[in-house]
This record gives sequence, C-alpha cells and structure tokens, in this order.
Amino acid sequence: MIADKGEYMENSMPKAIDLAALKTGGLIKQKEKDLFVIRLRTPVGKISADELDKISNISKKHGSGMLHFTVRQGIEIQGIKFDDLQTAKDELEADGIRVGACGPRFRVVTACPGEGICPNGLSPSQEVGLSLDEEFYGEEEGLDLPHKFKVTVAGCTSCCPKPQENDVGFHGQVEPELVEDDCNGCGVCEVTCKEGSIVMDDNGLPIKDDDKCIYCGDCISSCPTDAWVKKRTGLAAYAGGRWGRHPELGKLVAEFLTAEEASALIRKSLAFYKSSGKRGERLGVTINRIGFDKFKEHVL
Amino acid sequence: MSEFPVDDSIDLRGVLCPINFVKTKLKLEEMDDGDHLEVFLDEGEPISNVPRSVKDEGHQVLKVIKETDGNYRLIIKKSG
Ligand code: SF4
Ligand code: SF4
Ligand code: SF4
Repeated sequence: MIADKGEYMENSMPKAIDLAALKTGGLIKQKEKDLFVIRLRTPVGKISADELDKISNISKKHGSGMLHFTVRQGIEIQGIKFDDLQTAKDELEADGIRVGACGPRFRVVTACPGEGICPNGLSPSQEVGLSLDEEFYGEEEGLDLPHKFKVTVAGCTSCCPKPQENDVGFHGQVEPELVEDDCNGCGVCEVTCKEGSIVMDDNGLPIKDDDKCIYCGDCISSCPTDAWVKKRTGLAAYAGGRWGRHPELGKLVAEFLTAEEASALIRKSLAFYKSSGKRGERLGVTINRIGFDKFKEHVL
Repeated sequence: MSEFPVDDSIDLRGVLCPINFVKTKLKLEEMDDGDHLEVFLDEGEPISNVPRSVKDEGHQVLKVIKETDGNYRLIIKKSG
C-alpha cells in the first residue's frame, strides 16, 4: 500500500538536529560521509536484556545494524545518517535509554560486577558506581572541565576496571583481624597470603605483618574456621591516572573511605580541577604541576 | 592416621582449579549429610581456593593438614 503523498512527505521529513544536544556529547562523527555514531550512557556497564532489545531495534531501524562495545563499558550505535540522528535520539530517550558523553566533562562511571556477583568482591562497586554517576554525570560541577574526567569503581584489590588509570578511581579493601580462639592453626592463610604478610608462629598462630598487608581479604575468605574477620572495609582512592599518549598511574590518596566520602572526594577533585587545571590537561598533569601534597590538602 | 574418621576420600593432586572444586562438589553430592570427606590438594591456588569455595557452598571445613610433601589434606563435613 502506498501512502498518500502528503503523509509520505511528512514522515520522511528529517527532524532538525538539536545543536545543543550535539554539544552535550554522545553524538560522534563517523569517518564516512554523513554518518554518525550515538554513544549510549550505560553506567557500570549494566543494562537489562529488554534495553538491549530496544537498542538493537534502533540500530536496525536507523543505523547499520552494528553495535560497538567501548572499552569503558559503553555501547555505540554505528552508521546513523545525519538526518536520522534526532529521530534516533528521541526514540532512544522515549525508550528510557540515555545518550552518553564525549568531550571535556565527567564521563560515564564504569565498575566491575563487585560484591554480590564476583566471589572476590569486597565492595558493592556497581551500587557505588551508579550513585556516583547519578550524582555527577551531566551536573554543573562535571561540565566544562579542562579535559575529560574518568571515574571507575573496582570491587577489590585485583582492580579489574583499572582504578589507577582513571582520573579518580576506587577499589574495595578490607582489614583482617584474627579471633585467636577460632583459629585451628591449619596454616591455610599463610599460604594464601600472596604478600607474605602472614607467618605462623611457634604456637601455631598466624602473625600478620601490617606493613606488607594490602587489604585484599584473601586470608578472610580462605580461612576454613572464619578465624579472620573483617575489622573494617572501605574504598581506597587513587587520583591523577590516565592512559593515552603519556600514560601515568594514579597515586593513592586515601584509604577506607565510605561511599559518601568517595563522593566528597570526587566533588572536591572536580572543583580543584576546574579552578587549577589548564585547558586540555588531565587531572594528573594538573596534580604534577601543582603538587600532590597540595592536591591532597584540597580534597581531603 | 587421622583423628577424623572419614567416609570417603578423593585425591585431587595435579587437578587444576576449578576442576578440583567441581570434583569435590560432585563427590559431596553423592554423600550423606554429616559425612566426612577427605580431599588431597596441591599447595598454591588449590589450597587457597577449594576450602573457600566449599565454605561458600555451605559445607564445613573441619581441618586442613599440611602433609610432609607440601600438599594438603582437607577434611570436609557435608552440610545440607
Ligand atoms: S576487581 Fe575484584 S571484585 Fe571486581 S571483578 Fe575484579 S576480582 Fe572481581
Ligand atoms: S588481607 Fe591480603 S595481604 Fe593482608 S594479610 Fe590477608 S591475605 Fe595477606
Ligand atoms: S586459615 Fe584460619 S584457621 Fe587456618 S591458621 Fe589461618 S586463621 Fe587459623
């Protein structure tokens, strides 16, 4: 059935792209003429199967039918014609799928599965990551920065999502404490501790060398009698890390932070970066220029 | 040789993670509640991982005994 001409015209009229939307990011020019990529906002790399279906439908309808998973847990819909950009964006948003960021701003927060999914997890990295994303993404304090600002949350000291490569990164940690009466002297913790922090003494009790301990919690999870217990848990924070042309690892700023303290650290780091950072430099470069101790004074 | 009477035994020396745990789990499934299983494990990853996985499944690790050849003997009580 052929639609009448008027209706056809109306349906095929490209919607003018909202230029302000182009500025907030997420719409990226593809190399090929006239084609764009829409980058989606999928904080902590988690979406439902239903959302994936909707994304897939939009990709088939407006794009090339291909999706790309970015190294920062984002999804990009490739091959969208310039004229379809606004329609695709509107349809995504109507489906509850948000468009992501590029450019000099607070980026979508990444995180590993963490506690609850990963057997090694010490902190709820997904929940922490989601709440940081909710709090800072697209907010005034995270816009118009000197350069991009990346944040990740790792569930444990294994640091799978690479907190030391982010402008500010966190990992879960736990301090173990021995309940001597529960220990049967089996020595499993001694062989489990990869840091050589635990040695069995002459009485058959494990002795912990605090200087060597990295708060991984392996001794706690491996002890058959639960003699090692959690004294305190929290988040270690690193700042100034980046990848790219001149990679540098972030430095340890603080340990055993609560989720609220982690959020305060980001707020103060963004303020420091906005006021002291030069255009085009990442936080780590600003920190190097001004001094790590000065940075710590600002944010702690 | 043991202060713990065991109902069954499985030698998992030379068996890698996580196969060693899966074999332990399957063995425990054949056994009755309260039965004791003896498991021989290599040092390194196996002795760090298997007791914790067994614990996570709700069984009780009664004892870990270091053998003279550097391997370990684990006594597990099947629970649930
Ligand atoms: S960082 Fe730790 S908790 Fe997160 S995925 Fe890696 S091992 Fe698991
Ligand atoms: S927390 Fe990790 S590093 Fe510290 S004593 Fe336990 S196993 Fe060793
Ligand atoms: S693993 Fe547990 S029971 Fe065994 S020596 Fe260490 S603290 Fe004691």
